[in-house]
Amino acid sequence: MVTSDWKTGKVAEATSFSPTARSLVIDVPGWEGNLAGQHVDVRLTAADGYTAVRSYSIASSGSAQRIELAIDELPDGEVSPYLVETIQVGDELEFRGPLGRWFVWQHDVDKQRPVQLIGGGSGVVPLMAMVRAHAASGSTAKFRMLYSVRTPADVYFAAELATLADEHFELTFVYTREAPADWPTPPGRVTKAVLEQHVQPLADAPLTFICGPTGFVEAVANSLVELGYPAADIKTERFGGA
Amino acid sequence: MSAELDGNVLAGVLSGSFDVDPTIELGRCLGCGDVSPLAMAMVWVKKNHSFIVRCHVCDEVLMIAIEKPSGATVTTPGVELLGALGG
Repeated sequence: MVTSDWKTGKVAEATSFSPTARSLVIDVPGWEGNLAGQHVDVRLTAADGYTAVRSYSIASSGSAQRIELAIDELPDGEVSPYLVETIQVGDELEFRGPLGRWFVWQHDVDKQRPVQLIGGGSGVVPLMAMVRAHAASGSTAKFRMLYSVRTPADVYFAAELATLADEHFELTFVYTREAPADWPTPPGRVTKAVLEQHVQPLADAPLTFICGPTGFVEAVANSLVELGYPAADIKTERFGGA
Repeated sequence: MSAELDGNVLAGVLSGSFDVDPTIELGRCLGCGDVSPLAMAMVWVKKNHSFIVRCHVCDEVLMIAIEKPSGATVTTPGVELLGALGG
């Protein structure tokens, strides 16, 4: 199966996270697997031949012949509204991949190195693939995730993340607009102070992955560098938007 | 409409043009000399499937990739591709 070829998968499951976000599990005969953090390009073709292509991170990894995508619907999107509102189980989807070897975590490559994941909104998707891969491999590398969302209703994979949190995976939520009733801090963004409080210590030389809207990624990356974290140990993936 | 993304998004459009994933390969910006993996470049995607790739340090246009049904047209006015991509 050649990465550059367009292939067709069939939607096997569709699960809503919220009115504007949905997970799609897609069966892909012949899929040769993907690394945690890779993405696919999805192509939609209109009746008049007009095509739109968008990249979506894969929330799963490994060699199973199905992949999971999680899509955030953009109000003016060309592809996301179709994937969140329209496509149904049994429908086919055209895509290309797996793609990208920069923003990936591999147990046999990164080994015991501590990992800091920082996700904003739908930016959690490739990080989820890494969290799942970490759990599935039995890795004891110290993982921490800082997951920034607007409100508790915007969390993706909420139930699964709760079961995955353990002594090797520490999860911290940051609510930017509305926090749960019993939350100790008022809603607010991921600031330098928040990072200082929650991310892996500088002395542990973590490998850091930051993913989400462009503004979020840049602000967080700049803050970490200002805190002394080496830029060479920070990998970023921008999802566009604000 | 254009969106500000990064070089990670180039993996698909360039997948037919190179034997390796170009986004992890290094390029030297001909504007400022910065050497970085293509994944770190700033990328704007236009509706006509064209990708404008700029240096994340100095904004120089490194590469333009246009995807067509027949394949991608790639020009590199501002980057010297190194390593596995080097000619």
